[in-house]
Amino acid sequence: MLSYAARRTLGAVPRVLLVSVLLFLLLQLPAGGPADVFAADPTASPEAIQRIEELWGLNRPVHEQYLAWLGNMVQGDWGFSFSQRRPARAVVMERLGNTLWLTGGALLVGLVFGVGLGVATAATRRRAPKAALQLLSVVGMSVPTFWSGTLVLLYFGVHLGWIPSGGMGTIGEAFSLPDLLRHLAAPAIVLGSVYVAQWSRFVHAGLEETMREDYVRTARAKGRHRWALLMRHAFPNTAITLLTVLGLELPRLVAGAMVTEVVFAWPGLGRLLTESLLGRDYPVVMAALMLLVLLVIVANVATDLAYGLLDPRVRYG
Amino acid sequence: MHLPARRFVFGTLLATLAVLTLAATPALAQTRATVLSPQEPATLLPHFDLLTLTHETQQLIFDCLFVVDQDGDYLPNLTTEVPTVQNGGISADGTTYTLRLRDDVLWHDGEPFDAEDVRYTWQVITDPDLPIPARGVWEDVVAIDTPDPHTAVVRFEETNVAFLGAASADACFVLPEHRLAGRSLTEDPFNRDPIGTGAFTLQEWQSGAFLRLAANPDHHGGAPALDEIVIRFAGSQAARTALQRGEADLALHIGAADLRFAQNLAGYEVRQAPDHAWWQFWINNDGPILSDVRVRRALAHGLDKDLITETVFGGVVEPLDAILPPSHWAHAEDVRAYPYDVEAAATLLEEAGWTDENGDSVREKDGEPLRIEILNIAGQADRRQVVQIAQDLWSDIGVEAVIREIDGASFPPTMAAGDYQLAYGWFGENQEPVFALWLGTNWQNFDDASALDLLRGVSSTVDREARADAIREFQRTVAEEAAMLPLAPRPLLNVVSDRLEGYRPTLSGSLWNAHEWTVR
Amino acid sequence: MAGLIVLALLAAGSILAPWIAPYDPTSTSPRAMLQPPSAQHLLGTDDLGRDVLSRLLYAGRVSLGLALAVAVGSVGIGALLGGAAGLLGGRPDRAISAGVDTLLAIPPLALAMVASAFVQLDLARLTAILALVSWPGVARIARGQVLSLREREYVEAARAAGAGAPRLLLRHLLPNATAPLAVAGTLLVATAILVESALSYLGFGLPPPTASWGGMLNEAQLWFQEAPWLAIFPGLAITLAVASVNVVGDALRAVASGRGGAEG
Repeated sequence: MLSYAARRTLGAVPRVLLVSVLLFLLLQLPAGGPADVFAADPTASPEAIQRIEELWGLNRPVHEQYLAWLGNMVQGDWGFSFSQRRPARAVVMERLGNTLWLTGGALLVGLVFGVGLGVATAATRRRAPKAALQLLSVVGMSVPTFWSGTLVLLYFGVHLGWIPSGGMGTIGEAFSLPDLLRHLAAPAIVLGSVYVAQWSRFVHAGLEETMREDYVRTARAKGRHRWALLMRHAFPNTAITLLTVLGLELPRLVAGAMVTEVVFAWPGLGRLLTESLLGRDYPVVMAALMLLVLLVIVANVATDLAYGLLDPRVRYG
Repeated sequence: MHLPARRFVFGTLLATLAVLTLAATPALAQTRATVLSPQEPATLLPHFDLLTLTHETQQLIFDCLFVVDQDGDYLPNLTTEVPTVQNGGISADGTTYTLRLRDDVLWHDGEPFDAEDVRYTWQVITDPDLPIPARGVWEDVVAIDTPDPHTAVVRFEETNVAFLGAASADACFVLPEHRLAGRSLTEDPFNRDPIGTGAFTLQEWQSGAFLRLAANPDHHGGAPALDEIVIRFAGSQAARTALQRGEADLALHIGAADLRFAQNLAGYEVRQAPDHAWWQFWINNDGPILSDVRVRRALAHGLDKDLITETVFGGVVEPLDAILPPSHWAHAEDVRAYPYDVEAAATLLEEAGWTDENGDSVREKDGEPLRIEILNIAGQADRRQVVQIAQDLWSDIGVEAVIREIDGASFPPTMAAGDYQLAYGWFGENQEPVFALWLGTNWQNFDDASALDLLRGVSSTVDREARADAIREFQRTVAEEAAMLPLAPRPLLNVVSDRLEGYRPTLSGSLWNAHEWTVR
Repeated sequence: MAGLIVLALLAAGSILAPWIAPYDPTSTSPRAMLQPPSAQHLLGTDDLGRDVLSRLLYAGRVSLGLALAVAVGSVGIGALLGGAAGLLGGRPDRAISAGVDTLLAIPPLALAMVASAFVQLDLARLTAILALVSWPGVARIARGQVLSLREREYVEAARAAGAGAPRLLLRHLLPNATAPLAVAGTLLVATAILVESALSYLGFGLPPPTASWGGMLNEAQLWFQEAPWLAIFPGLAITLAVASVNVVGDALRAVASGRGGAEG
């Protein structure tokens, strides 16, 4: 297991490097390249501009620039935010936790209700719930979260006043867990609803399929209960495949979190990316993007590790 | 259930209910005022950011030498008295102001305020290496002497009548010399963690969400009655929500689009703050397309100002042709107007060489399309409406207008860098004009030297009528050249809760006397 | 079946927009702003007096047309690159797979957003950006298909007859992978609609006055107290479009995997 874990973790490093190359190439898009991006701060004093040019080596050839940029990133210097007048890394890091809360909450909602609904509809033999599930899951997967989120926020928050009208906590109050959860509920449910739709369908289909297998039908004929068979045989296999699906969905989850954060004014990384792009605060844009990607890669590695724990066959592949 | 059991259950329920009720009772809260602001400051270090809302926030933390009261009279703030010729504060020839400073003012870190701070502030504002957008009257100061810690002597080369006005509004906040001297002002943490002499100290700044300030008990004007002020950043939608839920005591600078909504709110009143401000389209006179006066005049003829004032502004204001609003004593009535006239606009554009060769309803010249970008600040409903209406109107005269939206804090630096063609926004002027718009920022790149000299002479002209004449002449020149495109006066609308007492906006701002506020 | 009908209706509406839209979607009539649905304006007017129904129809052209173009483009690029990786193996495979893995690690919306903000956006560039963000998924499928197909007899025969890699790929391998690729392409249309609307909603889509469903929702937010209907119709349009595409895609998938099935 340990060697598997080590291989998986080390294998992520080249991916991170490749992503950094891609992001650096992205910086070349604006007319002036990184110079435009990092030195284009009109409020910069001559000394600040000079500092930027030295730091990023903007007068050197491209590959040297990349190495200089990479060196800085590794050492923790992710640039200086134009609009907030402080290191970009500080700006970005304080938002990371908030995004984790949101994605964690959404994952929880998705897993609990998704798996729950999937199992429940598989356990029954009646047609109606299954048809209802199909319909709901198609709709659930097609509804754009910025729409459902906006309607939920505007109707339940603004019109009825049942839920907070956005943000992560009551303004000016000290942090408290119940307050946080109250603010987290709506965005997590909205974001998680897409996954409830997807995974309930997936789990249901997977369970149904296993239930059709010969050995299960034999056991059924012998008088075993549907529920027991479901949990003992069908579920573990489906759970493992669900994990793979989850791993593939992670980038989409992070992207979905971005939109949900904007709708609910949740102070996370995604919303920071949007704001800093609109505000042309490019150092923060790059830092936020880098962190988002790192988040996805770390989550992928974690999923792989979990997969390895659950399915021994994988470790020796 | 047996009787004793039932009583037991009932008793437990009652007890639980009591405990829950007690727990739900909020602890004795601090008295706090919540203020809504549509824009967030980029920095709390004064003088670097032109946004009025930044200035409003800084009023709580910093002090100016003087303030203006509701009648337009000056009041001493950091000084013991207002200098006049009678009390010897102003020299007979108007070139020297002797400021007698208070000796009981402390900075938030406990250090005493003195004349060195005044001189240091002047040096910062006029430092050519610092990206200060508007230096105003301070540039005319030749020296500030500090014979003793509580006396500052401000010397001008010529008679100056605008100093008191400038030192009581806009770029007037005093900076702490002991804290900032020798530091890099654009990067110092002071930007986010300032110390001033004002009635409130900054406690917390959550970017994108709010600023929280606490009362300063050692404030020279008396300790504030409020314990805390929270400034929440909220665009149109969020502000409406907060007002509807009664979560705010004051909403600053609501847009014209929100006027009807605010007027119908129970428990709130819409009050206009005194200001000489107006909405306009900045024109970058320096660009290839817009340096041609015919194109500028065509754009003016192509804009139906009445349509906009009637619909977006609800008829609350009338179209404006001069670059000073009618509320200002130096407003010129007789400037050249450009009535909405599509044919006149078309003729002008044809004359300038812009014709529609290929029938795509966009004019071209030498193969280049007549494409003009309009810069706009995002997040406010009425700004977006005006800009889109203008875009549609100008497409009727063959101009392809493209809209670019950015956030409020990026607006001044983008303008300063000349990175725009047209920009929509508002600007204000002091009671005693300092012409920061023309002599300071000059984002419009207006380079008529003789006209600008006319303005420069104004602050040293003692006779009011002569000043008025010069200012009006300038307005006529600008209108003739169509160097700017004014739209309508901008009423500064604030929404005040019935709970808030002490709110008295003046030309110094809306929050200048926040230390006197109470919230019921 | 129902899905196909809905989709056909939406597509028809978009294509026929210039003929059936009652008003010009970009012409403003500020005096008629924020009117609720009425006989004159079936879905009401927005904050500039523009007819919502007309805007919705024209926005459909943008959203649906763009999504289709993106799907076609992505499948094209993805099939070629992924197929080549599967066929050639070795270094080309490693290089392409590395690229695919890298791109898959970046949230597509984030990448599209940043790219959109750095360039002057128009329809062609936006299509290109979205296609570049979507091709890796297709590439993976194509690669897997080619890997499992390349040992088949007819491939061996073609190789023996002297067919080079491009010919093998284009004539023999990819055509036999049409089914899964078609399914992937269909689902990609749905994703593209969602990503483009999200992009427009966040403010990074096509500049005004071009109508797009996501952009209409963005504008609607500022007026929710006065005109709640503005927020309902664009989202409904997106949901219907995406749902019908998903249903059709599911049906295709069922057919492709040989299970038949009467869904959609």
